[in-house]
Amino acid sequence: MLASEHPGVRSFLKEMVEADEEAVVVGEAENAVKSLWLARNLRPDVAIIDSQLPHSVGLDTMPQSRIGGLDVAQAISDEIPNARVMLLNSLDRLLLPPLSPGAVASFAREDGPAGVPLALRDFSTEAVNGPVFASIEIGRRADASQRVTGLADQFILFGLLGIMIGLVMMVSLILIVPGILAASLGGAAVVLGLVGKLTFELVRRRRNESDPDSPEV
Amino acid sequence: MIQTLRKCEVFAALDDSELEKLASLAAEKEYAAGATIFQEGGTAEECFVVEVGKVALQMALPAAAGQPSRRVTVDVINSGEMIGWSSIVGPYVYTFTAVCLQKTRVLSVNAVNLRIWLANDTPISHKITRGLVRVIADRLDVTRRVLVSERLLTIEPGRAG
Repeated sequence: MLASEHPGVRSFLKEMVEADEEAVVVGEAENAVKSLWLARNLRPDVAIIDSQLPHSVGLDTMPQSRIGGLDVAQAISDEIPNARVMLLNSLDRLLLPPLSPGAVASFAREDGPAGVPLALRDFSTEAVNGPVFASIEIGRRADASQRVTGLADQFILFGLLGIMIGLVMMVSLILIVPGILAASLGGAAVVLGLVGKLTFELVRRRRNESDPDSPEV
Repeated sequence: MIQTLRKCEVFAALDDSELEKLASLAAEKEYAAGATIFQEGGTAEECFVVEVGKVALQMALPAAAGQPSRRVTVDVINSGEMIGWSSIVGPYVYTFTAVCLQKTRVLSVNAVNLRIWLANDTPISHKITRGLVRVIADRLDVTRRVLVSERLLTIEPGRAG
């Protein structure tokens, strides 16, 4: 189940959850009271709670009222031991403009290693004691542009390696010809890699100048 | 450290030399998300100024017969704010539980030594007490509003909102 005051945030979270075909959102709540009621009745495997959840709706518009998330997360953890509870911080930034194309959102533990996503499937069977504090990290999917520049970097790297090996062989005065060959091939690889990166960069800049709204390549 | 103390409302009236003296009583501490800085009812020997992070202040509500005990968050403390003022004001018992909502770094001020300093320096005591009164008044106001809303909720049991 999901709990956040903002419908946009709930939709965002629902998309993240249902990206796993085996996961389904069984309920949504906009305040702490409804969250607890849903949890007691639906007994979800995982409850994802916005830390800035209001205690109730319509009582007032005070920002101080939007502090019920931790309470309901603790209450669900206490009352429903089989439910894994994730308390999410900083969800208000999800109200900002939509993610750029190629961006990928994932859950991450607040105290976990950087860059390691928290998979819901693993989390739902994990042994936990109380709510787990987490956030949403926005990263970029490795797209074609990254693959191209990655390949160019590899050309340059292996080219330099080839040049070094070639030079060592030439210096030994025994394998001069193979050394020259290795150094030449290495040099060609470096040149290819540099030309590739330069071409890619020029194309990207020209594309961005002609259409500023196109996704960053 | 001095910059953080200067930003805190309780210590805003102190001059540079006084802030330096205060900083000598303080140490940085870090807490993971979910960690408890202090428990309600515990002996209050430190006060804390949040440098980075967010801390929830919770109160335990007495449990009715047949009902589980509950905790209610009455405030969320951000950077530059102070928690643990009970360490400066008798009976030196924490009135809330402080739980980190995210990884948090605080300045922990040794309140025992601070109280000795305040007892021997009337002008400093006056400056800090004025700041403290404002913080306590604000905290009480927020707590009152939150608990009133809780009371309304208990009047209507089972309401799904």
